[in-house]
Amino acid sequence: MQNGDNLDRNALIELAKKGQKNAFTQLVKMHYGTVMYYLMGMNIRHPDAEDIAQEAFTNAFRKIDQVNTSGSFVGWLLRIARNQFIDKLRREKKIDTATVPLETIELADDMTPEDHAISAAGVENIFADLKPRERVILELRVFQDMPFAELAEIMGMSEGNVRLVFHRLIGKLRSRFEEKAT
Amino acid sequence: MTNGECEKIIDRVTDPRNLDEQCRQHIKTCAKCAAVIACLTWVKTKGSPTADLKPSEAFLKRLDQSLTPPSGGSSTAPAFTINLAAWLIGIVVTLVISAAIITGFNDTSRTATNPPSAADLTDKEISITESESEILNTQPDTPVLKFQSPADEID
Repeated sequence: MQNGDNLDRNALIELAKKGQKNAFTQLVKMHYGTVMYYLMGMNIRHPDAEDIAQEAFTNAFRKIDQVNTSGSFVGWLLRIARNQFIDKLRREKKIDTATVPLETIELADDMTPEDHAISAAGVENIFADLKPRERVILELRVFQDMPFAELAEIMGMSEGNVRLVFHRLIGKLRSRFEEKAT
Repeated sequence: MTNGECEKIIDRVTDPRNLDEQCRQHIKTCAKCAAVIACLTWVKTKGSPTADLKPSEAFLKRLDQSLTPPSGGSSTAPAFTINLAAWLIGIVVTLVISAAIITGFNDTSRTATNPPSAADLTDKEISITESESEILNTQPDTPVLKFQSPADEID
């Protein structure tokens, strides 16, 4: 069996298209955080967000043949997650959208006690106080090179608003960067 | 260069495909843009801002179970059974309510608006006719004046 960890995303997608669950699991591990923060950015509580994320990933695996590797895979995943959320709202007619303070969010199981301490102290975690929505915008724009138009469509915001949020975010990070430098 | 133009440059810089020679020249001369680029480079070294949330083993296990294709369409069977049960319950409830309404209507019509039988009608008609004839029989053939008529005195 091939080790999916060493393969790039497109190769993993191709393997998942052939029905390899392990390859798809690697993709899930890569994008779980983005999908979760995206859902939590819509004020969905962490347990509900996890349920929706699971349904979204299951749906994504069923529809993996539709993925075009030249497009944005994470964008495609987030659209599925959003539709899954809308479906859940329709089914249940309501959802508990009470905001959850970030400190109540479960930390990843594979974090060591040192990681927990560092995270709690905010040491080197420059993203600790960012809102879920800001994290997603930063991830999609800076790390995934997603164009503003697509970003706006996924976030359900106008392009102008996404640009505004992004530049404020950059300003916040810049001041943090300058504090570190001095 | 204005603040807005710097923002446009930063927008371009975040997507290397849009980075042209004009942008490069601007970055060389603009301290603000250079600082932002340095910041973005620093941010990139910190890793993804969403990477701190990782799936738990329990999540991955549940997901793995849901990715397993159902054998013999068993996943649709419970939904079908539930739908069928709901339909049957609906039909039974409708039938019971209909039967109750029809039964209740019949009882009401029997007690409240029962038409009189032909025998009853005949008796009543007969009794009315007899009483009327008694009255008629007791009435004198010609009317009798209580007081004398002025015409009697003319003679």
